[in-house]
Amino acid sequence: MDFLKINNLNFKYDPSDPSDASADRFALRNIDLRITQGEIVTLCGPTGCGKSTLLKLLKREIAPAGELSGDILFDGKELSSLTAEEQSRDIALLFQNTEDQIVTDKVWHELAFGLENLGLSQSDMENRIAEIIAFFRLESISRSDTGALSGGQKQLVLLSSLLAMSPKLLLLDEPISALDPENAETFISALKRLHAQTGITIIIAEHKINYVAPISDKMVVMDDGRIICADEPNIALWEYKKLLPPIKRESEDASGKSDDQSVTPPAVTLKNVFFRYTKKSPDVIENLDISFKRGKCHAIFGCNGAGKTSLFNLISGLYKPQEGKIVFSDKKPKIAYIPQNVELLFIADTVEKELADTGLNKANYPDYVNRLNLSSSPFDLSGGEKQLLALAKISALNPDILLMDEPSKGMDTNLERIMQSELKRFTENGICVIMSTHDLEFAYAVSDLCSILSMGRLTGFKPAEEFFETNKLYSLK
Amino acid sequence: MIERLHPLTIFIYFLTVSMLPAFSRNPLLHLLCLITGSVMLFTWTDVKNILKKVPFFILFFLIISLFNPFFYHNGDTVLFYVAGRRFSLEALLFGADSALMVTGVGLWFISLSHYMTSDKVLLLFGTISAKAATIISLVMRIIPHYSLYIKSYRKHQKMLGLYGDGSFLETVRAEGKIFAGFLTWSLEHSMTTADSMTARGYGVKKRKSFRICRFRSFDILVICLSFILAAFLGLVLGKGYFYTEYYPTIKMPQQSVLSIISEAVYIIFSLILTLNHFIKAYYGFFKDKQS
Repeated sequence: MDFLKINNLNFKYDPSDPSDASADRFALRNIDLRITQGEIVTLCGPTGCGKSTLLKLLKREIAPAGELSGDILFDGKELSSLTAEEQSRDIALLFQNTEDQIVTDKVWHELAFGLENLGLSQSDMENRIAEIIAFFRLESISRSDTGALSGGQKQLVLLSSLLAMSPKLLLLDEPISALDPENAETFISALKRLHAQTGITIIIAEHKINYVAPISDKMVVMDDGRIICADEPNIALWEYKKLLPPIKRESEDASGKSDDQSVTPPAVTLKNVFFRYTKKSPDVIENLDISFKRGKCHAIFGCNGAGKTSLFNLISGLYKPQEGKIVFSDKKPKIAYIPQNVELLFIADTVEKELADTGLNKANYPDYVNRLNLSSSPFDLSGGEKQLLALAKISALNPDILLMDEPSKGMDTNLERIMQSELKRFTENGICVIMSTHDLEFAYAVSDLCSILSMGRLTGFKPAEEFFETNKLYSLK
Repeated sequence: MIERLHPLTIFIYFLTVSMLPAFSRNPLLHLLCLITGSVMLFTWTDVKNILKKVPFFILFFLIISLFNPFFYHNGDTVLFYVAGRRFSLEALLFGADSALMVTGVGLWFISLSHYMTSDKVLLLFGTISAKAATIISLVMRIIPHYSLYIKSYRKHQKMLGLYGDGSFLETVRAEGKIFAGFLTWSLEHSMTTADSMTARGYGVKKRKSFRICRFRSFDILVICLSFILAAFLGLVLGKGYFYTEYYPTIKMPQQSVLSIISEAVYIIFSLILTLNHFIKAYYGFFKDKQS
């Protein structure tokens, strides 16, 4: 028997909800899906294809308001006929924004939160928490403040707290889009172990299919509210790549961009810069001596904690170096900084007002703004759309130097291509673009010069093609 | 060791030890409270740290001591006149006694706030109401999260040119916008938190609090002793054995057998956890070394 059965599901957002652009069209159309117990299913497709909506409809308490037709059978029962207790216990949903889902201030309490709600006895709670701590190896952080955890740890704690309630169905909404490769791998391997041990049914909506395809039994490709293909990963991947072809590096024109590298004037030069956060902490940036060129896109790689964000904070002037100098070629250069959390740049309650804030009006919008719903709140956009909005805001400032921390976060390849052409326009206008990223494909496609930050220093910048060819670990092979 | 006690025990013990002298009017009890409170500090911090705090406490002590004689002009022994008003010895000593009491209680509370970590406060409230405990935990989570956010929010908006030329008017306008932006952000995000709570069954059933501490017999002993001490000393205090009169002239209470016993009991009781702490902490290591 099918564990989860969706029959001819149609869904239209409540027209009175102004936050959604698709109010007058169906967000989901004719969805038919069958999932057997113990399967891992990946939902994928371009931004706005309806995968998040579908996930949320499977969790009744937080299902969006709107017109719904068709039926959803969960474990042989109509989903709407489940009691509130069954719903919260049997179906677990991890949504996109990790930070906001954490309710309590201590890890142990976060793990206990769902169990407290279900009113379990003290000894039952102790047992389940002990089990989950041991399984996910959370012992060393079990008494920590949740605020002090890293992004990957927060994700794992949330997952554990859901699993402590021993659900039958686990729904994950873009669980690894915001994670760096190291944490993404940890998360995936935790899922794999969990599945091997418990045989739980898992549905994952995700852009980063490279991570999830290998562990999936089935992949469901969606576009514009419909299911295009629901099949084994190797077949579905083919459909997916047709829909979202991978981003490519534009071939260099005959003028040979890489040749004039040495003569391009620098926009900013760091001379023997040292930086640390407190008197007693070690140097994060240590004797860094490098220059960033005008009209070039620089990509900086490096693991978490290598000091990429510190470097950006130094260039942007948010921090001052304790030793050494940062010299700009222009007297008063305009520096723009798109941080990893792009929401820090938002100040208005609609996208339109947000754009007006930096002096953009309908007449001078960049093309890609059409993709965004102007009347929606900037916070309601998807991760990739937020990046686009931030990019539009920043480009209106005409910066001389543009710093970007993980610009491809949450983007599908369609949005990445927009970013690519924008970056190209920037560099052609002589802007010095510096970005830090974990996304090698994206970096290869957009950057001119690449370098790795490690032990507080950058390796010398190399042209992207040479960099990816000569490096053994940082390569696309 | 004190951090191993149940939060309820810690709470009751510290309150008893610090509040009994606070309700008395007797410099000797206040002095004892100050001394035992200082000794308690050594259970969790070192001499260097305590010495750093000494100037603050001396200043605190002087301010409170001098506050009284400048505003109360009773007392027969006039030391001098300030702006035509009497500055009396009695008022000065009364001020000093109050300062002694406030400093002593303050020292106990510093230790209390060290031992009552947020886990423990939560546990204490959890026993009263599971809902209250959730709200406290939520707030404890949100405050540092929000304050970090607003700091970097301000920085990034400044880079976007929000503060303009930095003139007063521009700054006021910008701070207003920052606040509105922060409010929008926090509302949007608290919706997600609320969703996360609902999705995990908040409000489905009667909530139970998960407890990470358990009562031991030692906890019960300390709580019982606290109540006995409170009853005994409360009775003695109520009978006026410790009452010192300051105005118009100072009259110290006569020492009697009962008051000496009371003082002894107070000293022992207020050192009981400190001694227990040091014995457990150091004797344990001695045993290790010998074996």
